[in-house]
Amino acid sequence: MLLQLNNIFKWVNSGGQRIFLLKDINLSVQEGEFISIMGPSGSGKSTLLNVIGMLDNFDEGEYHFLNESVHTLKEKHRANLYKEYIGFVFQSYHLLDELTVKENLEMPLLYKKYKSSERKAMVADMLDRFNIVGKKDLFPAQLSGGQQQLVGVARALIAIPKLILADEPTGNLNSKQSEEIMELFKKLNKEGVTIIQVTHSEKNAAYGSRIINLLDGRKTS
Amino acid sequence: MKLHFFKIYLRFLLKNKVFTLINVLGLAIGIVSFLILIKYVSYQTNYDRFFVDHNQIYRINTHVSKNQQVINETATSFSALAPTLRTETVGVEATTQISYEKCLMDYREKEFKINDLNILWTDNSFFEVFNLNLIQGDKEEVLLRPFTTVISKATSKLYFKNENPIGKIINLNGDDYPLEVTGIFEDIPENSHIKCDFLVSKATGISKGWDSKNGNWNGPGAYNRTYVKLKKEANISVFQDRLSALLKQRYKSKNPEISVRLSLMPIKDIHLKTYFKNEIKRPIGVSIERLYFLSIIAIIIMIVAWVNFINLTIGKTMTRTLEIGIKKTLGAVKSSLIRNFLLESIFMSVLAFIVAVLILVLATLFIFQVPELSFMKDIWTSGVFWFQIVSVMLLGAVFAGVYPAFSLSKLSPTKALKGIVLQQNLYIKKSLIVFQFIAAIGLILGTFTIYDQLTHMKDKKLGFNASNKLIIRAPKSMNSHKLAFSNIHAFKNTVLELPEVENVSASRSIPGQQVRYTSPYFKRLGQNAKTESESDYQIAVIDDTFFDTYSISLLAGKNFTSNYENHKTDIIINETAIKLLGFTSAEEAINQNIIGPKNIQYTIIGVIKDYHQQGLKAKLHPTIYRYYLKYNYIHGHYSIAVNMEATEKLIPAVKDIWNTIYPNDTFEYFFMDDYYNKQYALENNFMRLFFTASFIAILICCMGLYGLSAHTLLQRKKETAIRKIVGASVKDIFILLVKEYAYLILIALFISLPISYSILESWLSNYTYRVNVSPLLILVSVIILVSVVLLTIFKNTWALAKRNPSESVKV
Ligand SMILES: Nc1ncnc2c1ncn2[C@@H]1O[C@H](COP(=O)(O)OP(=O)(O)OP(=O)(O)O)[C@@H](O)[C@H]1O
Ligand SMILES: [Mg+2]
Repeated sequence: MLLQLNNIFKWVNSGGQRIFLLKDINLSVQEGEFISIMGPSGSGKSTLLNVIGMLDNFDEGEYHFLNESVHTLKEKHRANLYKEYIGFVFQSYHLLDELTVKENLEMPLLYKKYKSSERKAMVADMLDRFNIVGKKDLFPAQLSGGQQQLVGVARALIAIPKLILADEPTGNLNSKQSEEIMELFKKLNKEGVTIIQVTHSEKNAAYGSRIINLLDGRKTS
Repeated sequence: MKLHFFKIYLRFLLKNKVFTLINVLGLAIGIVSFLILIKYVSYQTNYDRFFVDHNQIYRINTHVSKNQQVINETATSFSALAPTLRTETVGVEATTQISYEKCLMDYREKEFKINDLNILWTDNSFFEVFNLNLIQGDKEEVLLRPFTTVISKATSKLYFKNENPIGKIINLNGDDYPLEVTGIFEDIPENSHIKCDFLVSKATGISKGWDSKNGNWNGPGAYNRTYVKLKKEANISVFQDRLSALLKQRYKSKNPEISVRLSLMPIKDIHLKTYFKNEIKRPIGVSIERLYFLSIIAIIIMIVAWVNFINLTIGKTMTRTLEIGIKKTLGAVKSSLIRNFLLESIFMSVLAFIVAVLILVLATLFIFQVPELSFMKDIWTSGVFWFQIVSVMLLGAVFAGVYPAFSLSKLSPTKALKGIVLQQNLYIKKSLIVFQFIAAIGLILGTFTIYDQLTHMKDKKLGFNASNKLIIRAPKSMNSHKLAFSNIHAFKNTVLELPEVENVSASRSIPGQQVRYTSPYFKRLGQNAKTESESDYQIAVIDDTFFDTYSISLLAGKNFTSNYENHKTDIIINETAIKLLGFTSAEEAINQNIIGPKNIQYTIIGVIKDYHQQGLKAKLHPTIYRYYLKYNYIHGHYSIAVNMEATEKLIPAVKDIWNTIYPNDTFEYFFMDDYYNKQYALENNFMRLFFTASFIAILICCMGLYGLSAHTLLQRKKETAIRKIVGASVKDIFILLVKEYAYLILIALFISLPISYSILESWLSNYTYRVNVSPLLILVSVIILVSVVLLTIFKNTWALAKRNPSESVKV
């Protein structure tokens, strides 16, 4: 078992009313799964992903990640937990504009205790694996969307996470670029990485082994 | 900070060149200006602290009262005081006397002479009170023999270059005082009230008969100053009591209405606190109030610069929320983000520090050479200065770093990724801008008002004609020379023969100078003195042509005639004196007799209209004019009224005449209008300082505003684009964007105007002839502020308003 959500509620108070963003979510994810989250806009997909990624709090329920009870952890411990085990991929890539490809890849390693030589080796390895050695000294603005997302995925992977969370990773890409990223996910999944992605596309969802449907913050299947 | 993060920051700075430049330059200029002002203030407040034991050294002042009304407060004291103290009073470690004079010092062997050097007449007890090192000579032996002098190190360099000065002769004011150099003392710093070039032995005056060893108890006079150095353990009030007892025992007032009191003033207080007459170095232009004023401006500049720095940093970091969000998802914890922010702002401050040092290097090379800025010369060796600059820099870094560090690192990663801007940041930014506006409006109004006051003083009718007057200083070589008096007539008559010359006058003082002779002892014959008399009568010594030369009008009676012998007891007085003596009109005073010092009876033969002898800052003084140029040393200047504009052309002709009548004296001249206006030099300097400081503060404000407007608008890019798509015109958008600043200015005006108004009114109240803070100037200041603000934000705002919406929305 990689993670388990029990009766998760998340809400905001607005004008004296309680608006639920997540309602009684129960979910368990095994290592090696490839899950797609689907649902209409505003149904809470990103919210759920952020809760799983520990970037966001929830108001009620229990969350177990590996052997840790996330709901009891302080912010600092949670940060340590997710930086150790989780990699994020975003719809708008979120690369740092001031850094080159190589430097962007190196970023996550800086928050962990890797030596400089190790970091170099890991970055070189990643560049190699994603076939972007030639682009290593370019800045994000000098890359196409697909290439930027490739770097985004590489950055999520570099610290060897157990879990990749991807929020509409292909949302800004054309169909050919989307396919490349999806193939990449499939390959990574085969290599043992657990993946949870949010997507609007049936085709992309089909790459996963399981689909979770959300409606108004509630899991429908 | 890991190199990596630093790289991000460096690239960020390079990408935002304008921001970086404004931030660094603004802070650097702020730091430099602040430190210069603070250095100036500390230079002034550290007067006389050069002497290690300055806390033990006091000067004795004399307060003379007449019927319990104080009429004379002077830095001088009885000449018998020091000799008496030396033998009789316990608790005193040392006592000395100083007389002060400006003299012409002539090194004849090398034909090298300089006028107006500062001479102190004293004896070797000087070194017992003032702990000065002698580079050559023996403290026990110098200044004992008549006709000997000890010179400062700088003077020695000036006169003797590499020669050994010991045993050389320097002539003081002509032939009668050949002085042998017997020692060299280390230079006294500029900020000491006894800064001087020569110490001349008191024995010289004794041997000439005008000074005496044991002195007298006649009165404080105008020359003798007494200093005591108390023992470390001595109690001031005990000593004060002894002093009073001593005075009571020794001094017997000849006039029962007159009483005398002695007071002690620590030498370190003299410069800023003196209100005494006859100071060696009159501390013109500085006062504690002015120093406060300057300190306030210094602090405003520093705060404005910091506020800028903080505001720009906060503003700029707000555009970096995405970066924070990304870093957080990659595992950055709060402490590492905070550390990063702080290091970044420290780095920025270090850049500012480097620029500040560069500015100081350039200033040392080019600007600090000016005498007014000479107090800045020692900064490179001053530990205090570097301590200040580093602390100011670090403080700024912390101020600027802490706020964004804590507020931004608190943001949750999801919010940060959405680029959410904290509302509270916007409030802080706005209040900081309001603060800048408050400072700016105050400084603009202050500059205008000070300027207004100065022009007011310059334009006011002085009551005499200062233009086209050539002034020649009286010959120094003829102290009590028997031909002195007849030479005055010879010179005047010969000069008067020149066709361009309308009038020539010889007088002791000229307009623009303080009248040095004063006396409280004047009253109307047969009446008791008016008791409300608060000040002395000034006794001006003039001749028969003085009033004509300066076009000073006679209200009643007549002027002196050329026959000096007829006017030995005649006087002319001014309007102020008339009132003080209790006459109801000028006519009433004519031919009345008054009793003067030593009970001599004088007759008032004329009354003149008041004129501003000492400029408009000073009150009008009651003045008594006498025709008494018997001794040359009473003669101070020749004033020549010329009937043409180009007064300079006359100089060669006058000089020829001078050289035939005074072959041994240097011909020194100047023009009245220049000279009179010099009185305002300090006001002008102060204004220039104030103006420069305000300009710098406003410049920094503008720089900050410019930088801030650039990225505030960046944040509203999307909003404006959408408004345009929905149909807003360029003008609508422009007004929308500008309106926000209008509110801020309005708030600033509400706060700033009352404060600035009351500060300026209190400053103006120091002047006798003053303006009020004018509503027109307030209006002009507001207009200037508004225009400056508009100009500053115009470029960015207009660019945004005109921007093609499609460029912004796809972001
Ligand atoms: N801070 C918040 N305050 C109030 N409502 C919020 C907040 N954050 C999210 N929501 C609401 O929660 C709901 C779910 O948002 P979420 O971003 O998870 O949707 P989503 O399923 O990812 O939609 P999309 O497919 O459009 O990305 C939305 O209705 C949104 O308005
Ligand atoms: Mg979403």
